[in-house]
Amino acid sequence: MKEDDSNAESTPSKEEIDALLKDMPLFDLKSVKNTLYKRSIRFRVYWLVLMVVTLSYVMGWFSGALVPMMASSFSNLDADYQLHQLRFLIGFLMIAAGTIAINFDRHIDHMFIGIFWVQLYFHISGTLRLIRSLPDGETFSLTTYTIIQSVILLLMLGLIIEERIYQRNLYRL
Amino acid sequence: MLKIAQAVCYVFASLVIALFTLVLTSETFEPRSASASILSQDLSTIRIWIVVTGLSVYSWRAASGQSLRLTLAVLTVVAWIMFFEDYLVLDNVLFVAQHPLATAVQATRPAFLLAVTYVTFKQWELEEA
Repeated sequence: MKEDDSNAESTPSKEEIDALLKDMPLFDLKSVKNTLYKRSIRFRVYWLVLMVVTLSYVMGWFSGALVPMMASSFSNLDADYQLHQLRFLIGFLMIAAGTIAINFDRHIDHMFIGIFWVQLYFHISGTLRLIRSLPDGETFSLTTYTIIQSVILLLMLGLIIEERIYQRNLYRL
Repeated sequence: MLKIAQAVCYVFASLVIALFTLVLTSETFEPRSASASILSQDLSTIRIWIVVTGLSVYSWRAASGQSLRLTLAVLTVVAWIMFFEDYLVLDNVLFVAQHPLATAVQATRPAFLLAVTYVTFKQWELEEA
């Protein structure tokens, strides 16, 4: 009987749960802004540039400007094109996941480390495919692709480093 | 349960290394075209390195008592992405393997994905505690 009482006390009521959740921001853009303002200027710059590069990439994809530079244009394999489409989708999901992590201000470094490694896999396999597919003397596509991917990776590395510094400083306080 | 899941991951990694080694060295696996063959070889080469590197890093970190959760999380995400790539895109371009080793890899892959996901969540839970 006594045990039942303690169980009843340890379980919050519906009203208590509602009261606790009332002020919890779910997906509010103000939270992304708040998280960014807690970080260093470098973090904010890296994030902004990453978004700009991503947006440019999206615009390049939808305008068709990027298509002639992709491996599928040289290999004439549908699989290459489909692979890029799938990776493009995964890239979007990763951006969404990163934004959600920033919104909730939780596990940002872990999230971006995961994204970094996946992006590195895309970068290495994509570059290898281009090297193998490109005709002799064609270096523009390879250079452009490598630069874009490397910039994205470096920006993410910058975000991870800045987040680690922020977490370390927070821990010291 | 955790030990069983880890064993499934190790068995799968061994099968993949054996299969990819066979693909890269054998002439019995024949894709549909020359360019498909190159794509198959490229992806096999990258993946064999990912599996070998992932297994080495995991084993080294486990042996030296370092945190494993992030390594496992990254490997799990990459494993799922490679699965989606294979299932959604590469089904028609890669060889249709008749070799028993290839069948074994295909058969154990769902079990591996479940096992590695379970190991990651469990490891995260253990290290958070």
